[in-house]
Amino acid sequence: MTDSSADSPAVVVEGLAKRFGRQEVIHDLSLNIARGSAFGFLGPNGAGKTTTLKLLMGLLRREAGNVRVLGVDPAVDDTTVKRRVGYVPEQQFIYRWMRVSDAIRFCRPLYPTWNDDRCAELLKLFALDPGKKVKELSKGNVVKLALLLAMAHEPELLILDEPMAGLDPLVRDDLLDGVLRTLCDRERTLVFSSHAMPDVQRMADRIGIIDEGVLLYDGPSDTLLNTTKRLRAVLPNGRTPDRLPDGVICHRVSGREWLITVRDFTPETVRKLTAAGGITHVDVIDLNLEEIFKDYIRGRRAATCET
Amino acid sequence: MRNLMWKDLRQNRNLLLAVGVILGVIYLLPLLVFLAMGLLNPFQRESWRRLLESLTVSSFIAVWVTVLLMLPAIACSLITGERADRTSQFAAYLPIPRGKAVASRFAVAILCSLAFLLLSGLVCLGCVALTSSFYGRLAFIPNDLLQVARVAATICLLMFGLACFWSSLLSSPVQAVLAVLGTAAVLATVFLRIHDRPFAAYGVAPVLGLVSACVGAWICHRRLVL
Repeated sequence: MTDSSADSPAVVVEGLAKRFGRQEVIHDLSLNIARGSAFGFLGPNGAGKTTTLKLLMGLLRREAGNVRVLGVDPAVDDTTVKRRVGYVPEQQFIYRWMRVSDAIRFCRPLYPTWNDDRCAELLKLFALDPGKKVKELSKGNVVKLALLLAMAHEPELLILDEPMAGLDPLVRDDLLDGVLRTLCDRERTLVFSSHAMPDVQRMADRIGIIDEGVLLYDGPSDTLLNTTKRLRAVLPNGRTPDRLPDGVICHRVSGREWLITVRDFTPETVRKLTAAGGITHVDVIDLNLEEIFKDYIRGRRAATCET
Repeated sequence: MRNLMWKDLRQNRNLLLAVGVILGVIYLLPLLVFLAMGLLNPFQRESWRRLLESLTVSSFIAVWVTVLLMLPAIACSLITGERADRTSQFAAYLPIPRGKAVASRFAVAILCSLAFLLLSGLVCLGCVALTSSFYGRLAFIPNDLLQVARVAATICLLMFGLACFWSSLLSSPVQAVLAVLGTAAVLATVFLRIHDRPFAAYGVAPVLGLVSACVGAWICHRRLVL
């Protein structure tokens, strides 16, 4: 059954699970990405980002759960999904013997929505020489070609799996420019994973943080940035209160200094903290996305170690 | 489909060229030996006869090299090659129906194999015909030409089927070719041991080849990344 109407979410994932052998790499993952939004997927290496994105494209078989991409289950009809989605993986394996023009000519008939004008525009924007062979292109230009092939058919959903890893800032700017132009041009959905926090902060209006196959956070990027705070408290006797306040992501003690990162911060959080452990002084520190991301991962790993 | 076949053909262009060069070397070898040893006298009929006889032997060798080595190499490279160099991952992101992708690879493998078989077969027949002109009868041809063709076709089917089967399982064309040759050697040993029914192999081998090819195609179709 498919539901590809314009008001339905672009991506719906419910209870997704994936194993490689005995290792469970995705555990009970649920996501709901609205059309027209830009979803940034953050996670350390091996967290399950690529696996999730491959499952969305129907490139892997899932063990459990439901996946709908633009209303279509990729496990049932991956060809339809691939026609409507542009996908750029981390590593490019475009046929090295092809010229840029050959790659375009090869992909063009595969997409009913291929737009020659858009293709020409992207060729110009990325300054790609159609006569050059893929094996003669620099790494950055190969990624640009992959992005061109993914965007020239006007996809409803663009999935980028860390394509900008290892590229210089100028090339990254070119690529981001291309992606943002495509996104702004029409209401399209973007799902991307990246380790480059400034890129994520610039593009994503929604963020998901994943570690070891478990989704730790899924929500608007503004909410994440505005309501996640680090509290620095001075412990009178060097001992933390028996009961931690609600919404603690990560905490650590260094001498008498106690650093706590909390989600859903309100002035009430400080009051509760001071009331709980005889703490007299609390500083509230704003965090950037990278610090928040690190604290989410550290917090989960510390919790995993404790249990 | 034409798009995919063009890609499959172009992707294996180097291998196909190599097969052509190897066959060319096999054909040219007698001529080079004759020239190097000064055995070729263009004004002596006997010299031409001996060269044509050598060429005929070479052309027979070329046919068997094609059947036993080139055919599995072409099939294995076409089916496994993209998996080995990971370009199949690029194709996997594109909206290519798996049935079409498998059909394209198998079609190109069959067409290329047939082309080389036909070429080597025709060269062989041509050499035999030319040599026979010296004798006024067909030389070097076993009495039952049809029987030879039947044996060759049987082995072709078996080798192609095994190539399809092993290529669908393995991720390296070299490994797949070695597996094909190993399996073929085992089967040949088994068939040769059936002394009382030597022609049983002619019935079993093609069926085995067809079944292997079908199983190989099915496994390929089941793969998410071909």
